Amino acid sequence: MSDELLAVGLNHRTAPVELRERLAASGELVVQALPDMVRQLELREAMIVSTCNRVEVYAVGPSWSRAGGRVLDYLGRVHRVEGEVLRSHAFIRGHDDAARHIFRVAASLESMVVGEPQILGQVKDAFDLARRTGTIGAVLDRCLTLAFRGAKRVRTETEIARGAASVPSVAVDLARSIFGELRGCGALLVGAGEMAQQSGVYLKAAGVTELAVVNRSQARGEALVRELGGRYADWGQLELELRRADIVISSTGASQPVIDRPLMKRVMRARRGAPVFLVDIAVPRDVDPEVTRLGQVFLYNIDDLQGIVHDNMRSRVAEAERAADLVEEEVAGFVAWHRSRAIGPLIRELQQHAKAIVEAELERASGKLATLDKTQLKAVQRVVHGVVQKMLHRPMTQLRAASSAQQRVSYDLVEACEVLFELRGEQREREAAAEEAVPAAAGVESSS
Amino acid sequence: MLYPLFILAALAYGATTFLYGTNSSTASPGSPSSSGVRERSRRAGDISLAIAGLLHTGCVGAQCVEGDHPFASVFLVVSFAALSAVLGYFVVVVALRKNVPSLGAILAPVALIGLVLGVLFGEPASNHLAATSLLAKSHIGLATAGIALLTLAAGVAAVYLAMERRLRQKIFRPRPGGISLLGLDRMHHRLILLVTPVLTLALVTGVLWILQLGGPEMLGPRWLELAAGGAAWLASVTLLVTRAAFGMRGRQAAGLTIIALLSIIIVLSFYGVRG
Repeated sequence: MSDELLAVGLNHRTAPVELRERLAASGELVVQALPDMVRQLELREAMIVSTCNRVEVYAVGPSWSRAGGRVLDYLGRVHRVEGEVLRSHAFIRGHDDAARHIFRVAASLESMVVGEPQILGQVKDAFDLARRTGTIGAVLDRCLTLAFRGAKRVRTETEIARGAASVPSVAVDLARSIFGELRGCGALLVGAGEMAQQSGVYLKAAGVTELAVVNRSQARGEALVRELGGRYADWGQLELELRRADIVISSTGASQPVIDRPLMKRVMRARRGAPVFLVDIAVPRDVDPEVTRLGQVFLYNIDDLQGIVHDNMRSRVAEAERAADLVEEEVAGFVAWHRSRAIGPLIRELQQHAKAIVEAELERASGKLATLDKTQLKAVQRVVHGVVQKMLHRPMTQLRAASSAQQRVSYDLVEACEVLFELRGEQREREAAAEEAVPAAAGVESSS
Repeated sequence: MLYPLFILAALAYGATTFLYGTNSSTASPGSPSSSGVRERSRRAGDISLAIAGLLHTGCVGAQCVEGDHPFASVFLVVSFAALSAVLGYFVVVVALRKNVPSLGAILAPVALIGLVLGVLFGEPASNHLAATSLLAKSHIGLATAGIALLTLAAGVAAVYLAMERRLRQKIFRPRPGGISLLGLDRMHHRLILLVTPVLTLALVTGVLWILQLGGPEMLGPRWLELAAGGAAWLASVTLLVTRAAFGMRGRQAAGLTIIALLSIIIVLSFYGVRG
C-alpha cells in the first residue's frame, strides 16, 4: 500500500454557507469520527479541519482519487447530505496538489480574508486533536510541521498580515496613530447597534480602559454595556460624555447629524485642545463634516475607513504572490521528502526480490552445478548476480531520477514496479511503521 | 584634513537623505512594499546619519585645530548648531524608543547646509564683535544650544504638521511601530520646555554683553536682528504660556515653532551677510 497524500472537502470558494454549516463538525464529533473514518475507509492517517469557511479532510491512504470519493461519501453519510450535492461542491486533490493546498491553507493564502491570522491556530488545533486521537502518522506529521513553518515564514517575511481588514479594526489602528497606546484613552460609543458592538470589542481588545455608551434606548444601551463592560449614559449626557472621550464611534440610525459643529466647538473648548478622533460609521451620517474645521478634531466616515480597508486588501493580495513563492519552497521540501520515502524502500525491496530469485534459482540448479569446483561455482554465481544487477540497473536509475522529477511520474513508476515484479510493499510498510513510531513519541515537540 | 572630512560628511548626509527618502517612498498607501525593506532603509538611514554626524564632528574638530572654534563666526555657530540638532535627534530616538525617520529626513539636509556654511564661510571675519569675554562666550554658547534645540523642535513640528495634514486629508495609512500624533506633540512640547529657558538665558547674557560693549547706542543698524531674536524667544514663551493657559497645541503650536526658527534664521542671515 502506497502513502498518497489527499486533501478533500469544501470551503468558501466551492460551497455556499448553507452547505458548509451542515458539514461543520465540533471537536467532540471530530474525535469520534476520525478513528471511525480511518478504519472504515482504510486510511493510514487523517485529520479534519472544520471552521466557518471550510470543512476539509487531510488524509494519507492508497489511491488518493478513490479515497477522496470515499471520504466525501462518509461525510455525506455522517452529516446526512446527499452525495451528489456534496460532490458538486467539493474538491479532491492528491500528491503535490494536496500538499500545496494544505500549506496554502495554513499560510492563510486560501482564506476569505487573505492573511487573516486565525486559520493557522485553527489548523494547529485540528492537528493536535487528530494527534491525540491517534490518526496522525509520519506523512501528515511532516506535512503539517512544514506547513506551520511555511505559515510562520509568510507572516514574518511578507506583509501579508499587515493593515487591518475590517472597518472597526481600521478605526482602532487610526486611533493608535493619533493617540499611541490606547491604554488610558476614553472611548464613547454613540448608538448601540451591531457596528457599535463590534467597535467596542476592538477598542477593549486594544486596551481602552474607559468605555461609555450613549444611546436613545436605555435598554439596548445597557445591554451593550453588560456585554462590553464600561458604563451607560443617557442621551442627554452626550455633550458631557463627548468632553471625556478621546475616541468617539457613532453609529445611530438618526436621520440628522447628532454631533454638529456648535456642539463640538463647546466640547473642544472644554477639552482644552486635547485631540478627539470621531468615527462616523452611520448612514445617514451622524457627524456634521463641518466639525473638521475645528482644530484637533479628526473625523473619518464609513467611506474613508472602507477606502483604507480596500487599500490594505489590495496590498495583501500583492503580498500573496510573494507569500505563495515562500510556500512553494516549503512544499518542495515536503514533496522531496515524500518522494524519497516512496522510492527508497521500493528500490531496496526490488533488490531483495532479485537477490531472492537468484539464490532460489542457484539452489534449484545446485544438483547440476555439483560437478563444478569452488572457483567455478563462484564464477557462475557472479555471472548470474551480474546479469540480474545489470537488468535492474536501468529501472533503478529511472526510479531514483523520478524521485526528483514529477511526483505523478514517481507514483506511476512505483505502481508499475509493484505490478511488474509482484512486490507487495511489505518491506515499505515495515519501514513506514517504524518511522511512524518516532513522531508518535516526539510529535508534541516537533510541531508545537 | 578638513576637506577630506568635509567631503565625506557631505556625502554621508546626502546618502542619509536618499535612504530616508527611500523609506518614505516605500510607505505610500497601498503599496506592496515589505516592512523589511522599509525597516532596512530606516536603519541604514540612521546609521548613515550617525556616520555623517561623526564626520561632521571631525570637521568641527579640524576647524578648532586651525583656530576656528565653533563660536568664532556665525557660520561656525550654524554648523555647530546643526550638528547638535543631529545629536539631539539620536537622544530623542533613544529616549523615546520610537522611530521618527521623517525627522531624520528633515535634519539631514539641514545639517548638510550648516556644514557647508561652516566650512565655506567659517573663517572668522575681521570686523566681528570681539567675543573674548566670558559673557560673550556664554551668550554664543547658549544661543547655539538654543538654535540646535529649536531646529530639532521645528523638525518635530514639521513632521507633526505633515502627519496631521495626511490624517485630515484621509491619505494617512496606519503603520505599526511609528510614533503617534500625540507622541509628536509631547516630544515637541518637551523640546520647547528646554528651548525656552536656554533662549531666555541667551537673551539675558546678550543684553548684558551689549551693555558691557557700551549700551544700545552701539547697536546701530542691528535692531532688526535683535527684533528677530526677540520674536523667536517670544514665540517659544508663547508656546509654553498658551499651552498652560488655553491648551494651545497641535497645528498652531507647530506653526509657531516654525515661525520661531524662521526668526532665528533671519538673525543668522543678518550675521552672515555682515560677516
